[in-house]
Amino acid sequence: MKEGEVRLLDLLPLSDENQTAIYYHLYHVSIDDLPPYEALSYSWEMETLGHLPHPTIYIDGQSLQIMPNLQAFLLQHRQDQDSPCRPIWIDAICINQNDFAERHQQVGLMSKLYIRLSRLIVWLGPEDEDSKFVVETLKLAASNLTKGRSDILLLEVNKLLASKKYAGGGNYTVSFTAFLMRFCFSRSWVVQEYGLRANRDMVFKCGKLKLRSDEMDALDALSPQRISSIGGPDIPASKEYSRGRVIWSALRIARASGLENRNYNNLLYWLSFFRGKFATDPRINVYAALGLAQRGGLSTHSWTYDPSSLIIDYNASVQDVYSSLVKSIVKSTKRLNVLLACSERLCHISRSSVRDWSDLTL
Amino acid sequence: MDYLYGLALACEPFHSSGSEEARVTFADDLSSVTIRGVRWGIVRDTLDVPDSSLAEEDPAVHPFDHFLIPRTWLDERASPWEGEFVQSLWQTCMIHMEPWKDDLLSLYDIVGLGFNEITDSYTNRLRVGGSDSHLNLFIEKFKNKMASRRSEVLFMTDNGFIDKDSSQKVRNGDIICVLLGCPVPVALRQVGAHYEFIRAVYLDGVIFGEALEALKRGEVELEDFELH
Repeated sequence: MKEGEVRLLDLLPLSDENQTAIYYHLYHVSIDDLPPYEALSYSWEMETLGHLPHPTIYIDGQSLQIMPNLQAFLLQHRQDQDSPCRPIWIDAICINQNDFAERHQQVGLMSKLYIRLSRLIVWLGPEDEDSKFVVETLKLAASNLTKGRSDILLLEVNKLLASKKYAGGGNYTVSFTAFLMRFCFSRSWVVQEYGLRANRDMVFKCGKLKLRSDEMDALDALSPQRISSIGGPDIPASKEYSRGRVIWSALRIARASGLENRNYNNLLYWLSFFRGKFATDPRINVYAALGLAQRGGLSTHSWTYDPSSLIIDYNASVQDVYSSLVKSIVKSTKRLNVLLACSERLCHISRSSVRDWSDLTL
Repeated sequence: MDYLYGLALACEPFHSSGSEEARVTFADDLSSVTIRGVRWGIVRDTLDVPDSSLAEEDPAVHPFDHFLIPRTWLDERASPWEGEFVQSLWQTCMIHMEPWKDDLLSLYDIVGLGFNEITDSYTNRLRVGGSDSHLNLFIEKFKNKMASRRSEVLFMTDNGFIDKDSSQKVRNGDIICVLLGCPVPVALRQVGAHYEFIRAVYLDGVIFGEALEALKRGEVELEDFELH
């Protein structure tokens, strides 16, 4: 591949002989001469999907193993196409992951790629009961909010909470927390993109459900605090809600901040923000922070975070995940600022050069 | 706001290793990391900075009316001039690496103004008191500035540099290094054949690339520190 080139992926039309398997074509194009294209952002592997075997796809006759979550997207995306589909850029396929030099060079082009795309697709994973409920509620809320009818929204929320499944409100926060976690673990700084409104066209897909970014905005209005602040019912917190609440407030900050505060681009900021807030699994702090940060280190050093050194595996030890975070930040920035955060020795970490981002106290 | 995050961010105006890129190797199993840098000095002596809150509890044990610095700290310095030493002390005591406490832009003003306070502009003499064995840095300006601070320790290295450590973790024998790609010096502790990272330190006189200049002049050498 020549310098300044990227690869785009075409989904080939279904042939008469083959109605099930999807065939792909990959081609090179200069970053300054791109046709209209879409880019995909999908989540770090979900706990449940992470243990499935890696499926194989065929690109120009060559086989490639991909993550189950990506496979799920490709199948859904194929089904959703009614017109000839635009080429798509997907990091795991369009960058040769085994070629370190290429990976490094491509990461440098990513900001251009993200600015020039026609549409950003955010894949939130296959749908389930929870996400179905949340997507429907968001659409309902968004249409009432655009009409300025928060009174009707309240009535609807009351109706919801009176229904059998959501009675008492416990399941309400469970469903929203699960949905927020999907959103937050999206790769490639989706939350930032969303916050900055950098892309005119951005669609969130969860299975066959679709959401526009203005519908996503209703998330804020549906948080238990906001509902009670406009005179709605008190929605009791579930056990999982502590996670949800953190992400809810992170989203609000990201939305409200825009470009004005450089801190919100900063991985260290979000690592500090999430520190000690996900008691269930300390690895989540890192993955959630990466979903929010646009850059990994200092704002004055313009670089793009390269997650290739990071261990994304819920079976890996916390210490190894945190160590790999240090490695990936140092490799990307060529700076040691992340080291300066390491002065406390806490339960998960025995290595003196690795910061424990899970701790509750300083 | 997280103190540690602030520390990492507030280091932006400092560049003890210039624009040098980090030279780092990670062990395959991530159990250690080897970092290249310069060994600058060894911590030889420490001194508690007066703390007003401790003084309120027990003024007999923690007096808040003097701050004596042994004149022996002067002996190792390249320049034995008292004025430079006191300025360095003042700067070290005043400097914050926590950005939400003081606007960093005004930091140099604080240092400058402070120095005006401790010198008599008519006679151009230092206003510090003391005896043959000690300097006393406890002047009104200092008192005001220190009143809201948390406990800190000043320490000096074998080559006459003064550092500050607000965590009180740094001990005698720790080494102070300037690592390539790191904006401020760090304290490391040797444990067997490897090192442990202790914390970042403020080291007056080595935060603006002076170590790299010394390296160019051949006064110091690069070495690899294996951190566990």
